[in-house]
Amino acid sequence: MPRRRASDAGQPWIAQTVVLLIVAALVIGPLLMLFRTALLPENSLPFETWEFTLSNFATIVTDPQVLVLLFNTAVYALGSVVFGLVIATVLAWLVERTDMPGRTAIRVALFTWMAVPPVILGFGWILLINPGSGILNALWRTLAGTDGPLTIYSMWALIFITGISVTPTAFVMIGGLFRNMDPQLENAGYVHGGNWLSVARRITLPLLTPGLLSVGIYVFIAVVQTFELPLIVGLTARIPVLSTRIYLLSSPDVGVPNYGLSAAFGLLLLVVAVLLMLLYFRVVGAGEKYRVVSGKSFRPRQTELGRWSIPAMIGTALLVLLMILPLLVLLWTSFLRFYELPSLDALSRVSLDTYREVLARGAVQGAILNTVILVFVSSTATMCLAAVVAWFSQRGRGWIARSLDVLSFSPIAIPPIVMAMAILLLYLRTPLYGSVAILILGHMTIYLAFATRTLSSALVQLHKELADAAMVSGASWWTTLTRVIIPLIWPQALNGWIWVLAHSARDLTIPLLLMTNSNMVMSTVMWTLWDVPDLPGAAALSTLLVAALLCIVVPLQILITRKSERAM
Amino acid sequence: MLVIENLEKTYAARGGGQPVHALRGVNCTVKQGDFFALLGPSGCGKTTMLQSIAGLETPTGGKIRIGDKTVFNSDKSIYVPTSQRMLGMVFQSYAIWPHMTVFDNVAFPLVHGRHKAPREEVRKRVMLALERVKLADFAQRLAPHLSGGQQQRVALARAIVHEPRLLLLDEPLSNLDARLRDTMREDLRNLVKSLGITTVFVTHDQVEAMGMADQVAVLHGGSIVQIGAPEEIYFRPRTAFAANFVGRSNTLPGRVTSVERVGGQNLLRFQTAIGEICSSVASDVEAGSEGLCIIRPQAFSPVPDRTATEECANAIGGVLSARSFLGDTVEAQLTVRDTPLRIVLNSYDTVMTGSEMRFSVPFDRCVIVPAER
Repeated sequence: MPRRRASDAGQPWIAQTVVLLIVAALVIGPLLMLFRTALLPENSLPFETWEFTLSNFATIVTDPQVLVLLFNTAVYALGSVVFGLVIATVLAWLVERTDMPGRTAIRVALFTWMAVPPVILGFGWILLINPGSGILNALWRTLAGTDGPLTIYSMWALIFITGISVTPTAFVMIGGLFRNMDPQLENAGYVHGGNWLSVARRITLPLLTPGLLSVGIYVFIAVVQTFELPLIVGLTARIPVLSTRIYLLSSPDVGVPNYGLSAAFGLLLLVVAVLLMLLYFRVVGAGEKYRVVSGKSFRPRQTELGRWSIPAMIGTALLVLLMILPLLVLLWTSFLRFYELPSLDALSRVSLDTYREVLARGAVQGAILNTVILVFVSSTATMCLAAVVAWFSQRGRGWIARSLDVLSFSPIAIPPIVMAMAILLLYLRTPLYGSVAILILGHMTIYLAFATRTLSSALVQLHKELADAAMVSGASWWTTLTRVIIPLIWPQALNGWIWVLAHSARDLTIPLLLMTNSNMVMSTVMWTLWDVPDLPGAAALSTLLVAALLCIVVPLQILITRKSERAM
Repeated sequence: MLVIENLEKTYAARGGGQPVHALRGVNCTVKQGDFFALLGPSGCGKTTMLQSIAGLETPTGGKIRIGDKTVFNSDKSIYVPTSQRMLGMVFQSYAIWPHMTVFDNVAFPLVHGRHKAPREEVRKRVMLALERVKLADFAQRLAPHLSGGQQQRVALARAIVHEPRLLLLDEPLSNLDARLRDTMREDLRNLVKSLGITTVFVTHDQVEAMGMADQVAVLHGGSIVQIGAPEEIYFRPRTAFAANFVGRSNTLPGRVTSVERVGGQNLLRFQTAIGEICSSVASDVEAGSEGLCIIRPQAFSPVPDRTATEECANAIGGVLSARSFLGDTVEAQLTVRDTPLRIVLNSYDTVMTGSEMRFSVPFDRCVIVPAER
């Protein structure tokens, strides 16, 4: 009879320990490396010296530029959040609480928006409104005769593009708030003599405030951590933020990388993100007081728009157009051999030559193969690990379960650029560096938190006795997990899988920081082509990537929606 | 068959609170083939006990033996995982897996359990189990398309299909409506008895426990208060808690004045507010100590003639202060020297409120239990 810890009833502690070690290696390993590197003297690499110094932090504290960095980051994040949240709230209200036609189409469109890489949005907007040859500026010149007022290289453009790119996330979260609100709370206001305005002001808004605040902070964190748009738009506009600074220090255009200072900046960003995350948890905790989610099912009250439905539809259509416009521009560009403004003349030169030429290149073919391996392996591996982690942390007791819970969730506070940097430092001298495997490791680490959360919340909703019944029947924990639990939560699991897959495909942060000649993926090739610049080539690859992602995401989304609707 | 020794479960203090003692040294033995009920109010530890037997909960201390195999022993750090204890269990929520058909649900223990059976045998045994619970026609139905009573029977079929050593039932009838509960109570007992499977059964409903079990263990505050056959617990409660939880009773505080030896048995004289009451039931209360006298409302028989006194019976007289006619019975309140007593009479006994009445209560219907701390 083996000796077992009494607290691990029904679950093999060996499997738990192995999982804990894997997660710890994924999460803690790179972070330790980051700390070590931040304490390095200048011009040295980790493992080369045992010297510790605070000089990097001294540099940060004395550098007046740091204040500018922090200020830029704050203005950028706040602006994007306010802009994105206002649009998302109005849109969510229209879709969830009114009778506006075409609500379902908008919901589906916004859900599938995750298939669009922010890098590609950046490319599209640069083509649209760059000061010299942007299409919208050219249009203005033709119509008004003066130079167009729009410029991509400015803070407001950066905020505008980021705001639009965070709208779908905010929409999904705020839509949930609207959907879960018991209409009886509002009805009670009307019954007791309130009019439309007083009910909105005194009941609806106060009930939504904690939720909106927590969504706001969540999006704020995401924007502070974001790297791709500040890289593509902000660098040329000379708007440095924390995330781009970290990148430039570790991969400078000229000179040697200053890993120590870069890691120190990474720690600074990490601290900012962790503080924000703590604030988020406080607000979410406070929101529990206002929980208006009740067990019973209800149909939220729908406002009849009446004569306002036409303006609402026009406004929504304009927004959707704004979101699609950059993609259309890229599509147009990809059909030309050399970039030019849309015109009847140019239309005659439209062809598929760019695609043919780009796809014929060996580097591109390799990148496509790498991308396929990266996205499928990282999404599948992440979901498998997350399933076991979520299962153990939900059902297990004792410190192993608790550590798993905390460890798997903590990467949510680690900005991807910091994680990428830390992974780079850890694996720089190993054979893994320069392989696709290191990209997979990186994506597993940064997406584990989301995947585990998705599955944990699905598990919480499962009655505990469903699993107990399997174990009493004589099934091992593995059989229970694979035969009972996963079949019951597969829609959520599939949803998480698509999410990780789409994000892994669109991510530029990890592949760019860990880029070598041998592990190029589509996003890094796109970025290199854009830098050359080979605009049509980059546009063609962008189009291919978006099209491929849509082909995977849309049918699966429809399948999941159908399945979960039938279950209800 | 099932031996539990000194079982303890303590939940660690959380957030500055006191540690919770769910089980405080529970001992009990269940004989092979017995239908054993754990009866108690919510929070008495009965579910913790069942979960510990199943291995879904790990006790803090003690031993559990199923058959000849020790499945838990805190001293020797023995813990046999749930899946290897060869159990069958019906859960309170039934825990029917909604993604499987009825057949697949029932087949699970044979397909994925300890002793995997060949396909043909699985089919045969599943169909046999389904016939036993009268659900053979529903084999290919998906689980969510079943009513509550059908789900309960599927859960039962799944729990018996692999002929477990021990069958555990966690409040199996509490989710059914009253009428269905009455029929299921008998069906369940007959089925389990005909298979001869030892069964441990948790309930908070005394009617279920009394009607189904061979042996009942009454739990209170994490300890077993009394174990015995239903009749024994009803007629010979050992504590005021057992008396009040199983059936209703009149509880009269008082003091034992003397213990006499009369006709081969002890006779306790017990002084109460309504006068002296004699009891011939064996009791732990010694002469001179405080105690409680338990008298069931059904123990009273009306005495028509005010002069006659019966042998070996207490005579209690008073004013009938309230009466309600319930059809099957008449409930009345008898006030004796300002102390109200609850009595239950036959519907055909004519009694009027305000009238003086005399009742006789045989000595062996009065039970003296220790006063509560």
